[in-house]
Amino acid sequence: MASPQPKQSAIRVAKALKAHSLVAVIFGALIYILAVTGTLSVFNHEFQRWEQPDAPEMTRIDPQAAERAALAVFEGEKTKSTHLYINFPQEDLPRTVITTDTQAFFARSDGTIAGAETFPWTQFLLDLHYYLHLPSTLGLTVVGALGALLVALSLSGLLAHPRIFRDAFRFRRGAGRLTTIDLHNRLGVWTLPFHFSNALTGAILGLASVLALAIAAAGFEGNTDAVFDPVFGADPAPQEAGAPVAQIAGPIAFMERDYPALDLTHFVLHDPGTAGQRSSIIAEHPDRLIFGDYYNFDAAGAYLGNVGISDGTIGQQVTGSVYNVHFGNWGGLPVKLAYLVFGLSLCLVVASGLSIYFGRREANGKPAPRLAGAWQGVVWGTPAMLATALAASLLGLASGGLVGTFWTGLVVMVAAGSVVGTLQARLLGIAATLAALTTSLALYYAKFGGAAFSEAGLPVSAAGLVLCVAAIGVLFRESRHAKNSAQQATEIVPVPAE
Amino acid sequence: MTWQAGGIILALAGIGALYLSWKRKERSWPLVASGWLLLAASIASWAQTSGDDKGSALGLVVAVLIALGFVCAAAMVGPTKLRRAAPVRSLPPSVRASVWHEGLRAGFAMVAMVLVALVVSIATCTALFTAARVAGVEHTANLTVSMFALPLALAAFTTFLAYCEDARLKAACVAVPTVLSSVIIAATFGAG
Repeated sequence: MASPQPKQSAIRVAKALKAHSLVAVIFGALIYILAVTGTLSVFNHEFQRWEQPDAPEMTRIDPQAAERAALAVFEGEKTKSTHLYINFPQEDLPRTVITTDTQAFFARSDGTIAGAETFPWTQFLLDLHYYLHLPSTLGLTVVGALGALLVALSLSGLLAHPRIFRDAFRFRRGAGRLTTIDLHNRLGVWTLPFHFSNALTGAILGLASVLALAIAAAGFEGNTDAVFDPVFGADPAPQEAGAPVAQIAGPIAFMERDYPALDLTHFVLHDPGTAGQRSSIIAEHPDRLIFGDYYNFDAAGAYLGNVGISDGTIGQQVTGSVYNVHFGNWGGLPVKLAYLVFGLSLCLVVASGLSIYFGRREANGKPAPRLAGAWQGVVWGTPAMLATALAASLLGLASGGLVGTFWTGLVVMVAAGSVVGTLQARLLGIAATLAALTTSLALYYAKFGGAAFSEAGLPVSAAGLVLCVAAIGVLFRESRHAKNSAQQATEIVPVPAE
Repeated sequence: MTWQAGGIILALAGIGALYLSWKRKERSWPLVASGWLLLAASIASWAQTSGDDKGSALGLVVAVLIALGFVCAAAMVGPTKLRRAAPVRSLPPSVRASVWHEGLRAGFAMVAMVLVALVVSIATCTALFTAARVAGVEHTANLTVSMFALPLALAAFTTFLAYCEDARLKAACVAVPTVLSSVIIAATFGAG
């Protein structure tokens, strides 16, 4: 008698599941690193503030004081900078920073200079998320492609789940692998609006450079600026003849007077001290998703108009929203906390997805214990090595050292995971995370003393302490689980393959 | 505050309606439709609290958080279903070795597929941009569509190449858009 033919829908689901697994297994580790670093990057301003808790803080700086500070930094430069920036105080980063092509200094509210701005760990974290520490355009493209692959995983995940709506609230507790599957599917489905939009916007940001190169080659004689200038506005044509530095206080005062509802984030002076200099002020629109709009001024401080990201073409407005939608900095702390929840969910979805894959392999008689252990090395090694890099940065290690520490440590954790197996790799990773985080907090307190409990230092330190307590809890639970598994392992009788 | 409170209540009602409808054995279209309508109304309510874009996004965030709350509640309240561990099958070592080699080959093939998909997607989106430019589409709208289209095309090509088992179909999926894109780019080169 001929065996019954499987249904077409069952074949379709099986093929979709195969595609989903294949993409996840090959690229899951890098996507997981991006998910973890992306979740943390939402709080990059808070981390910057934490790294220098003793920097001068203010809610506003007087235009004249901002000008004095900017001129003091610019005139102290050995090589003249092609751009001069003032970063105005923000709600989550209440500091004024003067930046040139090569340096950044804090300004006090009276316009004097307080000291150099440096946040090595936050910069390391952002570079890991933006570029995976690869050279800039290559890194952006790789990260962008990984974002697109996360979109692909969302698509194939939906195709592989025929009962997506009927099961939308189903959760089987204490059912081993079924619980992990439910966790993966429920979080994956309900956070889909977040991780789809985040993966898409991340991919857009990452792949924009390479697309612009292609479009410029095909239609703009290789000039990529011509591709983006209609969206973000063009830099002024350089005129190198010397000139007094352009008005700084005037444009700032103009914006405060004529646009009181907007939040000024940056002042940018292009080609300062030259005949071609021109300034722009980037101002946030509190009721919009856009990162802001550019308000342009000539050297004498006369207003030239805005670029149009807030009120120009629909293309400008949509493109201007991509960055904020990706990084979650469009709705203050509540939205950042929501992004934290969604980001952690994404990390869980990725981590549980591959655990399901390895569990299924084992059940089908094709176990891959080394790979499964290595995967736990990635899952727990990533936070452990981020915390280790944090401790290293507090000990004074510079950016290259942090990169080396992270990747070398991660390779060691992955290799160790593949040798010791899943359960031990998990225990090792959690213990390493706990040790590194505790060390970081101790080093931070030793370095900054009372400032560690300031408004700038306390929130991140407190979050770190909560994480330590959580890690201790998870470590105890996993140790107990490991003991139980070891006992059960002696009772398992393998079933021969059919 | 009224719009926010209204938005939260509507989202709770919408998620609740969907929860009830999907919990039932028989499908209830009125309940499903009312769930989605209430969610849409919640987002519309949030859109009144700020700009259309930011307000709607806030509404979506709130709806997702409420849905996650429902899932968490279902996970905590639901009965524990202890199950016997699934039987573990064992395969002969020779079969296991072939599985390993097969996996390695599939991995390399996947990386190659993604690289091919990336090139095809860039070519397709560049052609889309240049064709629209010649047709007179406004530059920023054209660029925005192309920027959104690129990751979606890459995701779609990758999914299809991993999904499809027919080598000819895969080859056609790569060749046709590449050739078409090349023709369009060549025909519109430097124009606009």
